[in-house]
Amino acid sequence: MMRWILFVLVWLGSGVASFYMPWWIIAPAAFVCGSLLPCTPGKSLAIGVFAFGLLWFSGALYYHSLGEGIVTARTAALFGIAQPWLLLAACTFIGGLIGGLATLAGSYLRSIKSM
Amino acid sequence: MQRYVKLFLATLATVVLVVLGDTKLGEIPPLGKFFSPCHGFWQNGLTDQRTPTRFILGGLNGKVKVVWDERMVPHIFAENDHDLYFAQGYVTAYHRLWQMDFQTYVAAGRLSEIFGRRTLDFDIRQRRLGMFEAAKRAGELFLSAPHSRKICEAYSAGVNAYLSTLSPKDYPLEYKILDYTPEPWTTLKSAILLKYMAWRLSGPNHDLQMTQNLKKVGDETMANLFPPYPADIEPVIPKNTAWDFTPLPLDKPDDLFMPKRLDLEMPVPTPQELNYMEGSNNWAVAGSKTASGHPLLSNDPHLMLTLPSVWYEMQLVSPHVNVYGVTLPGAPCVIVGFNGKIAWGVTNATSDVADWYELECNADYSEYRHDGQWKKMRRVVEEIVVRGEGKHVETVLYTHHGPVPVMPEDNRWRGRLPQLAAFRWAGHDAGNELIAFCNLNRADNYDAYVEAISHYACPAQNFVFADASGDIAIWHNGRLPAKWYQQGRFIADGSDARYDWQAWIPQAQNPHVKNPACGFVSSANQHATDKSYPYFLNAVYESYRNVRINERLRAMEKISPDDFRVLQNDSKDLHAASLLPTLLRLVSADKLKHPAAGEAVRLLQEWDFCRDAGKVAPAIFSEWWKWLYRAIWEDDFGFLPFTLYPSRRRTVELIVQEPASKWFDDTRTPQLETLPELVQQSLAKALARLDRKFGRVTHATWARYQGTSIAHLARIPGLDHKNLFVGGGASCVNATSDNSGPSWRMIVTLGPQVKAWGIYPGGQSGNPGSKYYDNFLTTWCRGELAELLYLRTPEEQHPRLLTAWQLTGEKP
Repeated sequence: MMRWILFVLVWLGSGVASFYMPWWIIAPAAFVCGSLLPCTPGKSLAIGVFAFGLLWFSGALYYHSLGEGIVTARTAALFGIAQPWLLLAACTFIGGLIGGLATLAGSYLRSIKSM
Repeated sequence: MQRYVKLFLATLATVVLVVLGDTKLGEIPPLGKFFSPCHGFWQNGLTDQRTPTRFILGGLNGKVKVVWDERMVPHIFAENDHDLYFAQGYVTAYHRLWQMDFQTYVAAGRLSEIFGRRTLDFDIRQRRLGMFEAAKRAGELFLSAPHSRKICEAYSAGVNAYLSTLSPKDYPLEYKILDYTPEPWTTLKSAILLKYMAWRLSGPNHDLQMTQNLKKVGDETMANLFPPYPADIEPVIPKNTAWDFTPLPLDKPDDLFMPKRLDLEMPVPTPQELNYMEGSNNWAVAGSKTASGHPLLSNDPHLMLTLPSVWYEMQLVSPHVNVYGVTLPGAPCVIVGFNGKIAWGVTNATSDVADWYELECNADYSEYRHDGQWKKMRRVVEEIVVRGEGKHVETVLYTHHGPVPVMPEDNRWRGRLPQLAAFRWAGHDAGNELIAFCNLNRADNYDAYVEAISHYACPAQNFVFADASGDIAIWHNGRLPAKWYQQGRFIADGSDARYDWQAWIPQAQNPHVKNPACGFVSSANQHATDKSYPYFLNAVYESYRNVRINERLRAMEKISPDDFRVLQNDSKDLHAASLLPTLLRLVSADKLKHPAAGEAVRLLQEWDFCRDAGKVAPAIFSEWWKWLYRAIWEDDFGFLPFTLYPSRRRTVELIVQEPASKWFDDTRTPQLETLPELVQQSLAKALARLDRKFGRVTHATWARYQGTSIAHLARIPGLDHKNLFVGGGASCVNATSDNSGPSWRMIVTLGPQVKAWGIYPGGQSGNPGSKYYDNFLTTWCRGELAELLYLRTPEEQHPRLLTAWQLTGEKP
């Protein structure tokens, strides 16, 4: 249980740290998260993808609505995309991919330590 | 062991993704950084939500209040001039930081620092034309005069004060897309910015094309087809104005020089060749012709339209000045505007301030011959930083005329710039334009206006003027070289001192007129004077807009500001009006064998020559004219845009008055072509083209055909506006084209209470994520204007004021 609580704390902490640190701060944070999770690597990967995808999705959605979607629509046009929501999907994907892989790496570290 | 391998592989994959996400790949921004919610583009949607209204800024001496109105125009109230220009820099950077910075990269030839190799040729050309050198000289001049030094340093400090509040997540969107960072502002950057405008307004230079034409057809034919002073022009300064001065004596050669090295072969044009027209209108009428009894002034500079817009609107108030108008982001002061006493506006004078000199050099290009002597070339080394590659070093040779932009065998600018010729540009000589605008902002009568513009150098502008006491005036003003007849029309002899710019026209001798009998003054890039003016000004002049403006101004009485608005939006095309009836007499619809020919001809017959957005006739006429113009001149002068054809006006004259002229024959065929054949064939071609492009001829409405678009300044897709529903055209007062148009429309009524209206096609914010990025556009397209709020005090209340900022110096 303690490990899950720590996981959530680090996960939330990485969200807060993103305001002050470079964008890739989620990668080391996810690595730590992965090393905390008492799960198989496969499950850890899934949890990491979900957790960090969700983190970036909610951040992007928040700023998207605060800015009334204007910059999202402009950026979509820049990429030649007709549907601005696809940018939210892309953002979720990037956050999830990097977060998930780092979580996976972390879980391998845990599996070595627990040997 | 296997677990270690897995750990290593997963970690490696993560690191690779992070590095990739942090790197710009080709034109794709660094995706990780760019999509990150807390760092990427999402952050650029927040500028409209900025809430603090109190700012403590090191560098301010007193308190500044910035009042924002609902159009997001800042009205800056400062206790002293230093703080005023500091705040101007701060506020401009707040809205336009990326634009002001980027424009200096364009002008100085530094784009390769951002874009890498693909802009290297552009940068090399800018350096070789001496743009950066010229800007450095102007920057030094700004700093050497105490007055302009104070203004520049305050402005730069204001920009940098804003810059220091930013962290990378706050950088304007374009920095994130192009992946680079803003650099501190300097006086040099303001100077570069002003050179950027000077250069845009100094072109196009046709010396090369005119010389090629001269070589092809000879002196006499050139005088006939390219007359320097056509008979029926309406110059800016009315005909028969007496010149009350003794002109400077000029040493003139006996006959015209013909260059020895001249490439008559034309390169094949590519579709990317960018052609744009930058002109302008301005006029003022005396109180005797207005409804209010006070003078009215109008100005609409036509420029290549971009987003963010070239102009930024603001009001600047200190104990010494209260001025409202448009500013150039990157330069202090108001450029076009009004204060309580006077209003002024500019159009491009178009007078030729750029000439080319063919050189005779020794074998290693270390010396050139001039005035019977061998003179040393100066070498300037230009270093261009190319992103991802390091430095590119370019050595530019300088003569006393100016730089030598193209060396022999360098074919990169074939057909555009002559080889081994020195380039003389008035912009290479520094002028203190800042003093000019600073004084103009404070001027309160005619004499103060004349004093102010006497500081203005390059490129020459027609400064229109009106004041509260009832004076109107126009000065064709700037530092103009005093030239003999035909000097500078063609590439000159660089070894003959008589071709040098021997003197500047003394400021008092610049063409001008005050309170003329007709009750109005106007300019629209036409001839400045008639033939009687003792100096040769030379340009490719516009010859329809000004005639239309004068025809309307002569007819109008009891003029209201709204009448001026209607005139600014006038879309009557005198080119079409003078030509189409003749063309329609020569054409027979039955022989065209096109299903829509009858209807097309009927539409043209019924057309009132107004280029309204929804009409089809102007599209048919334009397409027809395009092919006809080409058919007449292509055999004689080669391909556009590498050549120059006789003007549209001269061509119309030939068609209407000399239908049997030999120029209608295509010299490339054995048989003799006649004008009626060309007219018939070009219409057939036009109809076929319109069919192909629009499905049916009748679908080709003028707005669709012309497709007026506003590109993003760095051509970033998605940040632009395409195919606006607007009328007008190149020969109309409403001078729109596919990529240019009225960049600022302003009307000012003088008198005890100044009132003004204005609009530009864009918005105050340079941020594509702001609703103020393009919120003026609809109003501009409709031809409407917004009333400008000219505030007297910082406390003044008005329902259209939104919010206010308090800026103060550092806490004691």
